[in-house]
Amino acid sequence: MRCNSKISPTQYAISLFEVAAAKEHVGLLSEAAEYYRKAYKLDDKVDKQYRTKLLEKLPPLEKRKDGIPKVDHRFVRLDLSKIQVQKLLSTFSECEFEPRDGEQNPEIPIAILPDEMLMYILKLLQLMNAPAWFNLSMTCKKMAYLGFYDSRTWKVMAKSVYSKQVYRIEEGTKYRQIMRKKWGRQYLKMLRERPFIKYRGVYVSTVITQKPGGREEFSSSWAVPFRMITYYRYYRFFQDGSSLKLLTILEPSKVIPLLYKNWKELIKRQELEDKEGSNRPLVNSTTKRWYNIYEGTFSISPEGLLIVKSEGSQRDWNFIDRLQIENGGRYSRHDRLKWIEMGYINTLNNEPGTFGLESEKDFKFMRVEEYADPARRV
Amino acid sequence: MAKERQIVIITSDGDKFPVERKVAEKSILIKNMLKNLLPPEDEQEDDDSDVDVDEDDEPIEIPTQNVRSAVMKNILEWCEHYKDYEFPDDEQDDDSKKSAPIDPWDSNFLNVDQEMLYEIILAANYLNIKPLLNAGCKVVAEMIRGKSPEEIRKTFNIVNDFTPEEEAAIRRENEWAEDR
Amino acid sequence: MSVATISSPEGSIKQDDPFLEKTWKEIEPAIHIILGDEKNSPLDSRMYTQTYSKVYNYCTTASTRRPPAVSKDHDGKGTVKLVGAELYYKLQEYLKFYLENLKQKGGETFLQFYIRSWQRYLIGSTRLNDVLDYINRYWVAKERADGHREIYDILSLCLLSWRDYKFHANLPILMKQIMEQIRLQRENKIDSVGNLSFAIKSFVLLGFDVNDLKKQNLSVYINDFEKTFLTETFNFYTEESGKYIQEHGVVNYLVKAQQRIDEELKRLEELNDHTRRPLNDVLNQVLITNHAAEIRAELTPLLDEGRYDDIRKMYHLLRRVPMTVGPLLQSFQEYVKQQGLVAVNQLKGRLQAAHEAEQTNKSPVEHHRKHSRHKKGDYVDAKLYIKTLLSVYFKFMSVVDKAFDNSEVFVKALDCACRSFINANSIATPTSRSKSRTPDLLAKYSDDILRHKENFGNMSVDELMSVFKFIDDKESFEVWYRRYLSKRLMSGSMSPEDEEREEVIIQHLKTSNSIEYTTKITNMFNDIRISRELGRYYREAISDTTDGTNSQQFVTNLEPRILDSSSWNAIFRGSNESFMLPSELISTQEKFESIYRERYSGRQLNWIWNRSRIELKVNNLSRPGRPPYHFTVTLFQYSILSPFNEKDTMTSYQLMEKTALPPAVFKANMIPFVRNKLLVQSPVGEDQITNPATSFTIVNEYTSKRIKVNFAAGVHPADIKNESSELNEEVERRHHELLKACIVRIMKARKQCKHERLTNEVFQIIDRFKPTVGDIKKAIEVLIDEQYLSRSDDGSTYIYLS
Repeated sequence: MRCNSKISPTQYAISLFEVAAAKEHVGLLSEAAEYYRKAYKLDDKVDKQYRTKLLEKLPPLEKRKDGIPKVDHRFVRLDLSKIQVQKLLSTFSECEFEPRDGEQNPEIPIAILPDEMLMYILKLLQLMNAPAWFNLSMTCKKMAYLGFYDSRTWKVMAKSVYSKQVYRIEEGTKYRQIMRKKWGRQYLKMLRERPFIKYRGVYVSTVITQKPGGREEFSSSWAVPFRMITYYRYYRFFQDGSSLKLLTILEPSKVIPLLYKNWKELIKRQELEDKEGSNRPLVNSTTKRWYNIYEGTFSISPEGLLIVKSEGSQRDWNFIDRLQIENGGRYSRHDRLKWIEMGYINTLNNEPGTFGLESEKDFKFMRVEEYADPARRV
Repeated sequence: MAKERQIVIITSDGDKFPVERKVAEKSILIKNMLKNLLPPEDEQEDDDSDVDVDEDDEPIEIPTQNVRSAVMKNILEWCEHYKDYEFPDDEQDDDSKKSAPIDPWDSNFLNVDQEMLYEIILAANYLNIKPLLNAGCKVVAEMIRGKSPEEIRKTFNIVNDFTPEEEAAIRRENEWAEDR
Repeated sequence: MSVATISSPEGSIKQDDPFLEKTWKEIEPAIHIILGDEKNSPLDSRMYTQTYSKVYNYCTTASTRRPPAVSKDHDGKGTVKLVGAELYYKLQEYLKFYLENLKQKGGETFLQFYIRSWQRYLIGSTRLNDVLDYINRYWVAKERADGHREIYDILSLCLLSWRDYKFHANLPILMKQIMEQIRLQRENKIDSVGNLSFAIKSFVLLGFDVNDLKKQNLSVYINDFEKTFLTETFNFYTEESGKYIQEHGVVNYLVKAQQRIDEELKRLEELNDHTRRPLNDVLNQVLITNHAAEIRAELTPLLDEGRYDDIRKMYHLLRRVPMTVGPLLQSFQEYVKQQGLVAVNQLKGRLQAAHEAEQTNKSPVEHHRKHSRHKKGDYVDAKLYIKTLLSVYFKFMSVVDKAFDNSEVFVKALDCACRSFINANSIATPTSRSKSRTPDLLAKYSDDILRHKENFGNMSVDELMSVFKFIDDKESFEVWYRRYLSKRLMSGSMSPEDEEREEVIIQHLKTSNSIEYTTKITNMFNDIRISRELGRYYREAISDTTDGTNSQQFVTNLEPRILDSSSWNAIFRGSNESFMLPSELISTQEKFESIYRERYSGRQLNWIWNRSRIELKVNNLSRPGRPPYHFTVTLFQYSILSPFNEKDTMTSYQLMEKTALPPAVFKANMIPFVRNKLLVQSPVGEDQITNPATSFTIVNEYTSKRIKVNFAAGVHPADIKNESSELNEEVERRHHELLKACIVRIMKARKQCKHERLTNEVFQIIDRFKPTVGDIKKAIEVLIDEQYLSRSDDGSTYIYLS
């Protein structure tokens, strides 16, 4: 059974286009593209329709002179506030697969599998490849019901997530009692509330500073030129309690392929390839200093206080970062590392110290598909 | 038993497959059945004659009402390949084992069209052959790897039956769980 | 068969589902056959897979009838429902119906019926569990994972149905008949319980752990079977054992009880192993502990009669309850001790009787000669005494072996008993306050052995050591042993073989005690060895005439003994008597002293004249044509005889003047000459010897059957009775010194110590004798006087003064 509403295809196309634009705005480009495609499929002039609609809602021209208003102010969002997802999912219990191409090709091979098989596949995906589980569950109502609704889904996830955490021992055992009391068998609640480190990606902290630039002498320009300097802090964590840390000006795309346990080898290989190939060298004498990856170890408390001890630029120092795992937003969970303290210990005289955090920015988690590749799993 | 009794599997479409017992016993369904129908020797004296054993030479015919010949052929090829391999007991749900990458031989063996793949999975489930079932499911998992929901729908030929609101709400609600 | 009577359980089943009805209709006859029908119809592979497939099809192709989701208040607590519930509940209903329709056959007891139908049902349930596997695999597994503990796998469901409809409903009659069978077997009225164990083991299978079906749960077995079984066992054997002991006596009971225990333990094969401990406890209580006193009372009579096999049975039975062995040990120990005391008492009686008979029957002279080495009035024969002690020890050692498997605790009990009667008995301690004579007698016995009076062999050394290890006062033994040793060494007749034997014993003493313990003994041997060397050196010196001295003026055959006074103290007794060395010996004395000083300058050399012996060759007293006599005399006797070379008759006054001997010594040395008629005394009478006017005349011709005459042996110093008290004093001194050394050692380590603690530690450390609290107090007092220790102000603590 189709659960469509009675709106016209154009209206539907426009709303899809709006979702796409919203996605694009928040940076989810691939998904945005998907929505765009869908919207175009329904109505190939959807972009014009959308603009018309958008312009209708714009304030009169004269009121816009203080600059271009931000797009999202005028963007009509989908009203999601009234939807209770859990309840919604439960209504899908009788949904079945519907063929995509309707009459032309009504065959759905996978439909021969009973629910228990589909659930089994979803469970395997949970364990092997969480995004695949998510994407499969997002395909249709039946899959969403089987993939998101059942409490066992969250149990599987909780078991797999928390068993991989590296706890500071003394706190971990004590916490077990509290845990049982606090969440019991409510695994979804636990997953939402109990922080965890994510391994399938990097944590990135982007810091942008301004430096005043030089002004030509006798220049009458009002504007003082300044340089924007962007640098990044990267953290990658491994299940065995080790970590990699990098402070660099290099963008994620250049750093991510190197953040493996065999990073030394990878950098060398990169150097070699750069020399042989005609590409602009990625690692050369001037950029080499931006590849100073430091190894370390980390552990978390059950409450999510992350402590990372790493080597660093100073030979006899142990650098100790304290960060709190936090939610990046209402619907994004445990994806932010908030700075608590950036410190060090001088191993020669055991004297501790701290650095200022004024210009530091919190880390955001960024998923990296390749890190899940079993062939590269280290 | 001095001579091993012949086992013949009969498919839903009437084909007969004579097989070695240890090949057949990769199916827990068949293994349990043989255990129940052929009491071990020391019990044979028992006057517990609710077993249809007329003569030991008669092959045991096992009708498998739910598997057609073409699928059974594949299943038996798989069983034959693994006949001398003892799979570890699957009793305790070892999640880490489940998430292990698929065996290359299995991956190659299951490189069939979708219809056949699902039929094999279905038959493995019916015959209770857990390792094959796992392998099949992992092939499905591979099919999905890296695909967006829309691409998956395309692969499976299923339609998106969400309203945009539903889709966005469900996505927003569960998106965080992808990242581990 | 009609199933129309089955009603749906509450809710959850969709009414009027034609697919369900059809499926059920198709599988129901097969289920009936699998569980067992009246004709015992066979199950074939077609029926097997068909039933499996029908269930499979029902569960998998019915997703359009997928049950609605179950939602809870919390997010993430929703449940996806699988298909299967309807079949499960249908089966549950059916099992009830099936079991309620199972009926006893005519002529069958309920127990027989129970066993027969249970065996069949168990097989059927196992099969049904496999045939309906698909329900187990997904629906049941999911329901249980979702927390529905009231859902079971098919096998458990079958067993639970049995429990509810066949077991609980009939439990009283079932238990009654089971216990009846067991009782009949115990009364030997039937041979074997047969397949009763099937019935009993059904109790085990009917217990469930709701949370983990794979876990065994014995609650049903324990509550419904084991308790009753144990109570009845207890009652049965309480009655039987009481009766049996009364009618057949303890010894027969020992066999009976053991046999009963073996039987009951064999029965465990039919029960669950959980019962092993409680059953053992019941049997031990009712068969052993409850009769332990009666049984133990039999030990003494059995020991008296030497029925060691029966004692062994007793021990083996009681051993099952360790707390009953303790009292048995005590009884045994007391018995051995008493046996030891009785044996010594009897010996004492015999010896005293023999002694008195000797005293009255034999002339004093003869008596004197034969028992010359015994103190007057001492009737104790060391050999008999030690042998008596040993015979008791050895006897019970073999009893411990035969009756008590040489078990450690009994060996210990035996040792305790032996220690007690060996140190204190009517011979060793005639009064409760006397010092034990056992060390003395043991030393004496060893002396007998070493003097060839007894056969020397491993056995005698082992015997010696057996008694030695029980002796409380090892110091006392050492002192006595040295006393006898010094005599042996001084007798001068020790052959290399003799020395070897001495060595063996010393080695044993050393290993069972300490090196230090035998230091003095070893020193004594060294002294003798060094003396021999000195003798040789002396002889070389006098034969060297180059310096013009005449070797004739020296005694050529001098056998000097240079003895360290600390090891040999016994020998110095009476050495300070006045004496004038005969002039012909003076040059020898001076020569030897000069040689000794040359070698060991700075050492003081004292002469012990009263220990010196002289061998004399007498030329002029033999009848003509007969060889000359050899006299062995003391140095004192020599000095008495010497003047007779010049004159045949001398008065007592003259002799005493020449020799300067005190009268008592003079008298003791003179007596042998007079008795053996070498000198003729006038007037006669021993009391006349010291009378200055009494004269002695040497005979012209001495008559004796033997050529060798030992006059020295007849010398009995007047103060011989003091010897043992003197030795005892030495022992006391040694004890005292040991205590002092021990206390100083403790205090040196502790610096401060309370009196009780110090005393306790001393008791722990001193193992060579048993000091009394008084001994320790005395030693402490002395140490305080000597300023090794001081008392603290409150007087409760001692302080070590360095």
